Amino acid sequence: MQKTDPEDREWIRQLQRGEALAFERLLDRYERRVYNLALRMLGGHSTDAEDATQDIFLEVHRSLPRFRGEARLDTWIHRIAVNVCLQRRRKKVLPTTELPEADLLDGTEGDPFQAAVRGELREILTVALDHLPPAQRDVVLLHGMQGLSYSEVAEAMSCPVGTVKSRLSTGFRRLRELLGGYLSDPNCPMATAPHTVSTGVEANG
Amino acid sequence: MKSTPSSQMPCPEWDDLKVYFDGEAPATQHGRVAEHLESCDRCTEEVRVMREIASGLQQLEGMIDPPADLRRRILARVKTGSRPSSRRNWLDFLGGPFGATRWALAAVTVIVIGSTWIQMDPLAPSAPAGMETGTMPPAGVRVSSDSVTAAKPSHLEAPAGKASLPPGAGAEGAVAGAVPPTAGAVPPTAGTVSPPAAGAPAPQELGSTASGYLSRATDTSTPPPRTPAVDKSDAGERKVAYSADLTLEVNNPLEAVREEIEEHLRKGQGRVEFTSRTTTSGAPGKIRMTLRVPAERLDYHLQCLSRLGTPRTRGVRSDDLTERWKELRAALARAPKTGEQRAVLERKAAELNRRIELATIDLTLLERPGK
Repeated sequence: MQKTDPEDREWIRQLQRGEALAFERLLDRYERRVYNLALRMLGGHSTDAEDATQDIFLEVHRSLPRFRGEARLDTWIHRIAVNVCLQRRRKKVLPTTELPEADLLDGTEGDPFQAAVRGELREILTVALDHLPPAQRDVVLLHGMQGLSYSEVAEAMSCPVGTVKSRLSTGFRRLRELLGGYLSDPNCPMATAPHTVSTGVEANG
Repeated sequence: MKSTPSSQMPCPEWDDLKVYFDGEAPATQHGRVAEHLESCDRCTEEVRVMREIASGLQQLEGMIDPPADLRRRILARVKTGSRPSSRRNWLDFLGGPFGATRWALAAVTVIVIGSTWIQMDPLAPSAPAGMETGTMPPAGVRVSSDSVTAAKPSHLEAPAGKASLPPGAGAEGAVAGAVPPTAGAVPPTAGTVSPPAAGAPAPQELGSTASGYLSRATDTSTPPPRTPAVDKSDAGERKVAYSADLTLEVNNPLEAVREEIEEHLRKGQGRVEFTSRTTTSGAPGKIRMTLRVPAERLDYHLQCLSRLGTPRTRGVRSDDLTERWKELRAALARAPKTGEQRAVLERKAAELNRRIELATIDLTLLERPGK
């Protein structure tokens, strides 16, 4: 488990003393990240994300006196953020669609990704993320978007590292399948060169 | 020259490749995969694709700006430890350990406000009838025998454009004086006015009738006084940003509805900011759209949109930006006439203006099951 960065310790002491400027600095660093995480976790609903972001920072403020630096501040804030968002998700059935695992790319007329190819990266990935089951999406967001390590994600999600690894791998593979057609497009802004994407790596090559 | 996987050691499991890519593999496994990648085009390609997806995900972080006033709301809540400023839930308030006391307080408040209201407004219903036992109207909602109507937001009463802060505005006409004592935001008006055949209705038509879609809006924040501030000038006028969530189950094909919406917005001075569509075989399709419409026409657009299908979820909220608006205005007045500081403030002012002038509608269109 990673400890708090030494340079952050004095800042955290200021936070725990309730210094307003220190809290402003915390918002400078995390407001945007937390808002975007909440936005993704709550199905892209900005109003929910705004309320969740307020809840998260209120909880951070309330809990700061109990923060002992046993985890990195990032991880600790993300744990609160995840908990708040999960609570909100449990309370409210968000109008996000959980889709079956199969047949997503069947057909072309209604294929979201064929349509999304014409859009921007944000839209494409947002659509793809929407198709992941929530548990996988949360892990992909924390690791892929927020940059947390496996152990930090595990801590934030209160689950074993093995579970993180498994969910992340499954979720990423699913994203890879969903984005397959898009990634193979030479005009794709994410692609570095035209290429063909196989459907997966066989265990025994 | 890299070879095909078949001539070399077996390709690692995809999961192992992912762990390697994430830098989380143990040293021995890491070395083994690295060595394999030296000679396997297919796995190298997989890692490259992983990198592309990871790069895309990283770009999502911080991609969307939080609302300009979110920080102010966070700080206000931290100061008071209160509920989210945008959503005050009466049912929550009336529950909890002091529920009975709160019910009593609420009842007294309703009686006092109701009687004052009746005295002030000759058009008001004769009594707050129609309120069922145990049902508390949200703040800012008028209760009558046959309808529930949200109070009219102040911005609908103001001349067009007056509610916004001109970018770069200086001290001229600075806000001063009385601000309505209620700190909360203002819910939009209610009504089920049929949309006009063409064009948009005049603002005064909005919210003119009862029992409408917006009357069940989730926003329960406090309205300004029933009789607005004595001063009709800029002073005391609240700067409010509106947003709405609407989920519609539609009969017609989703694409047709989407096109209809785009056409409707073109006529109504609105625009589509974001669209995404998800479909899968055997499941109803879904389109998510983020729309921006002139704030004074939010009611109108919501009413029109609601007629395109059956509303499943809906809510309207308002954010009171008055204090932020005042702060910006004061800061602009103090700022040098040129330079980076002024440019930053002007950008913020422009952003705030956009939030006030353009309401956001998060719209979800659901294909009716079985279609």
